[in-house]
Order: sequence, then structure tokens, then C-alpha cells
Amino acid sequence: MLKDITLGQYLPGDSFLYRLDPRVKIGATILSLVAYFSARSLYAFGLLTLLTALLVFLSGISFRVILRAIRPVVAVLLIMGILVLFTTKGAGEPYFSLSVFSLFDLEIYPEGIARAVLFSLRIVLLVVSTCLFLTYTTTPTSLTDALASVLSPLTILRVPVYDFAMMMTIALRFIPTLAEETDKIMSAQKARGADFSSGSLIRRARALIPILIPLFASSFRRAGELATAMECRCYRGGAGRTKLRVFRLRVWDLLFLFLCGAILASVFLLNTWLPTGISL
Amino acid sequence: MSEFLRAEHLTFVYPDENNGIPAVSDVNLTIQKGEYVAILGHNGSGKSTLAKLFNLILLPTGGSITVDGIRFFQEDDADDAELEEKVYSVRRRVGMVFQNPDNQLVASIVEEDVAFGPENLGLPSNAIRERVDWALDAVDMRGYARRTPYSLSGGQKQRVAIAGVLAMKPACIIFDESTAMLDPRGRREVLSVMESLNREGITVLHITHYMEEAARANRIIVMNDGRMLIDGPPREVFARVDELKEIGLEVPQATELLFRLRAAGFDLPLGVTDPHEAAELIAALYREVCHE
Repeated sequence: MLKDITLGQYLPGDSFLYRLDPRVKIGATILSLVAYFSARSLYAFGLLTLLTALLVFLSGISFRVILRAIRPVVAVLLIMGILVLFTTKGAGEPYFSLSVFSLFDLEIYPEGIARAVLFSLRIVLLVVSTCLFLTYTTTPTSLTDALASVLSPLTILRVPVYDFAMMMTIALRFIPTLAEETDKIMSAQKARGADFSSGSLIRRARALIPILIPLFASSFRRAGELATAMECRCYRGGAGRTKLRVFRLRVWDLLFLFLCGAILASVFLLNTWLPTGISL
Repeated sequence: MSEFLRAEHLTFVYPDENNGIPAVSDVNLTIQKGEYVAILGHNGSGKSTLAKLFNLILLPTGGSITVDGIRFFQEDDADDAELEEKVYSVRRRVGMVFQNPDNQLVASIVEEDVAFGPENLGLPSNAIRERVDWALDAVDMRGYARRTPYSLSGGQKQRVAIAGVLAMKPACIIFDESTAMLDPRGRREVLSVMESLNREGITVLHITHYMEEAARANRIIVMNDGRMLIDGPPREVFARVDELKEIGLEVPQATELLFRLRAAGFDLPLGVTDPHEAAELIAALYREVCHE
């Protein structure tokens, strides 16, 4: 279980998505986000749904895993969808109307149905493509390095991008170590008669204090030792550091990014040339 | 052999601690290139502080330290940038491996952790690659390059930590109780790496409180209350059983046995640390006694 945390949701594999430069994947994620939210025409939605499905197919990641990614957002989608459904007022006659205690009217218009469906579709597409690009096919380390590389121009503005990247790397490295330590402390406290699983919510929250205090104390000790070890290995901040792995953009990476740009452009074109009746 | 490290009246006082009693006081010693030295002492004897002075993690408050010709002393009037360069050039020559492998690994992938040092030195990426592969080969962990340290045993993690230090190509490595948290197997792994590195010409300083481990070195330095008490080859050091016991240190079991037999009136030498050698000596003495 603990080992799962180390690699996040990364699924080892080997398809074209794995071989893409992680910086290109960050770019593609942003472009797809813009595309999903700027789509106004039904044709544009159709195109994006089709392309996302194609991406799923080409990624080599099983459909079951994709469903698992969507599951956590289903509840949110339902609530938001229902809100959108009832709050959208259409031009024509409502399909359904109900007056609640004559305080307000619950009405469903055809426009409301369309908006609710497309709203949900947008979120689902967004979750699927983000998972495909960033979590399933990219290791947290290369994601961190890629982010640092993308944000590196900010160093001109004295933003310590590389130091933040180092902090991310260390945080990722220590998650399993601290998780293991938490387990140990919990066992130790249980052996002393601590009870973590009964009583009211407040009682249970208070039972966590004897876990958190030793955990914090040991984290500070670890941080001190790690800092000394890093100094011994000549760490002197992000400036002047080089990297073992250097990202190199290949033709295929550029082509893919260009393709994403072209798709975004066609979404805008479809919005203009083939608008559909519904206001979204 | 040429001189690698020289301490002259080396003193260190922790600020705001111990009422100004120095943790290390007036230590004078030289260490030659390629030596294998064990530093012994009980907790609080100043052995770890001494080690941290050797690679300028702590800066001496008195006296001077010279590493590979680079001299550092408190009254040095060089400007800050010059001093910083001095400190870093000493640190890349003297690497340090600590007790807990979990608290010295930086990255979640073995090869990326080993690359940390060379990355800090600003080497080009192909040179880093070369050093990482070389260092992992030297500790026999090449097959684990893409693994996460979390999935490794204590001994393996410690070997990765050694590779991380080795990748900086230091002339000397200090092992600060690096075997203390390991199981017997992990300890053997780390000791054997340590000794093979020493055979390759790297100066090894091993801080330990395991007497059997210290006995493997060519030279032992005993610290007590911040001062250097004894300095000499294992045989000489362990022959001074009384002095060692007085400061709360044990001696290797073989040495202890011969010491007690000797106290009981048998004519046996002191300072023998190897159990086989001790057994031979006792057997020889036994035959002699039987003949009489």
C-alpha cells in the first residue's frame, strides 16, 4: 500500500504517451483544458469527445483504470449537474414545472438538460485527459523536473523555481518514510492502550495528538540530518546545478504539440462556423 | 604516502551549549592518503564533532585544519566568497556517510539520488551519467538504478548512500556510525564496500562504537571528553585495556579473553583482536602447560 504512494498513480507502461516529453504533456494538458472550456458548438464537443476516446485507446491504459479515475468526481458531477439543470431558464415552455411551497419554481427546460449533460461531459473529459497525460504516464519526479523546466523563465523574476522543485522532490521522497513511521507510532501507542477507533469524532481527533507530536518531532530531526547530508554533498541551492536527465524535444514531441494547437484552433473555428442553437 | 589531513590545536565549542565546554579541544593529528582509520569513543566524546570538522560542516572555533593543502583557521582574513569556495572544495574532497540511510537519500529513485552530488557540482549531464554508473558499480548496486530506495534493505540503502558520496569522487570518506542501524548482514555489506574502497586508495575514516569493526582498521584514534586519548595501530591501542575500560569502552571479545587469562597469571600477549589468532595462542599455551 505504501509503495503505491511513492509513485503516485503512475502506471508503468510503454506507449507513445510514455515517450512524450513531460513538458509537452504539461502543454497538452493546458491546451486541452482550454479546448474543453471554450467549446460552444455541439460539433466541437463531438470532435473533442472523439479525440479523447482515441487518446484513451492509444494510451494502452485499460478502460477499467479510466473508470476508476472518474469515480471520485461522480458525486460532484451529480450535484452540479442537478443545480445546472434547475437553474437554467429557457426561452420556450418548460418540460417540467413544480412549485415548491409557492416559494420558488422547479422548472426543467430543454436548454437545462443540454447544459447539464455538456457540463458533466466537460468535467469527465478534463479528468480523463489530465490523468492520461500527467498522472498515469508520467512519474512524479519527471513531472517535478518538467514543471521546474517550464517555469524556469521565472528565475529572472527571482522566483526560486529550482528550490521549489527540490522541495517537491524531497516531499515525494519522504511520503513513504513518514507513512511507515506513522504506522510504527500508531502501533506503539496502541500497545500503550491508545484507542483510535471508538468514541465521538472529537474524541477520535484528540486520540491523534499522541501520534502527531512524535511524528512532528521526528520529522524535524530527519530534516536536520537531511540538511547536513545535503550540505556534505555540496548542495548550495538551485543555482549552478545541472541535471542527470536533460529533456530534449524531438520531432514527434513538437508534432504532438502542434496537433494539440490545431485541435484547439478547430474548436474555435467550429464555434464560429457551425454554431448550434443552444446557448452554453 | 603523502599527508592528506592535518589538525593543529583543533578546537570546537558549540555556541550556547555545554556552558562553553569545548566538544573538541586541542586535537593534533595527521592522516596520510589512503589510510584506514577508526575513531572510537563513547557518546559525547566528540568523535562525531571531530568528523564534522574534517569536512567543514562545522567550522573550527580554534586551531586549524588542513585538507589536501587547503588550510582553514578561525582568524582567516579571506573574504566570504573565498571562504565559501574553500569550504566547498574541502567538502568535495571529504565525503560523509551517516547513520540513518533514510535521512540522507534525497530522491525517490536510486540513480537520481546518486546523481545529486555531481548535479551540485554543475557537471554536464553525460559526465553525471558516467559517474552515477561508475559509483553504482563500485557498490554493486547497478541493477537497482531505477528502483525506489524505499523498496531496498537497510544495507542496500546505505550502499546507495555511499554511491551518492562516491559520485563526487572524494579522496576521503568519513563513515559516521554508518553501520549502527543495520542488521548483521547489512553491516557486513557496508564494511566490505568500505574496505574495497580503501584498497582502491580512498582514505577511510570510520567512526564506530563496535570494537570488532574498529579492529579492522590500520589505525585507531580514541577520543574522550573532546580530547584525543590514544592514537596507534589496533594492537597497541587494544593492549591498553585498563585505559580503555576507564573511559567506559569495551575491547574486542578476543582481547578481553586474553586480558582476563593474563590477569589470572597466564603468559599471553595483549592487544590481539583476531579470534583465530587468540585461539592459536591459547592452544599453544595449553600444549606447553600439558608438556610440563
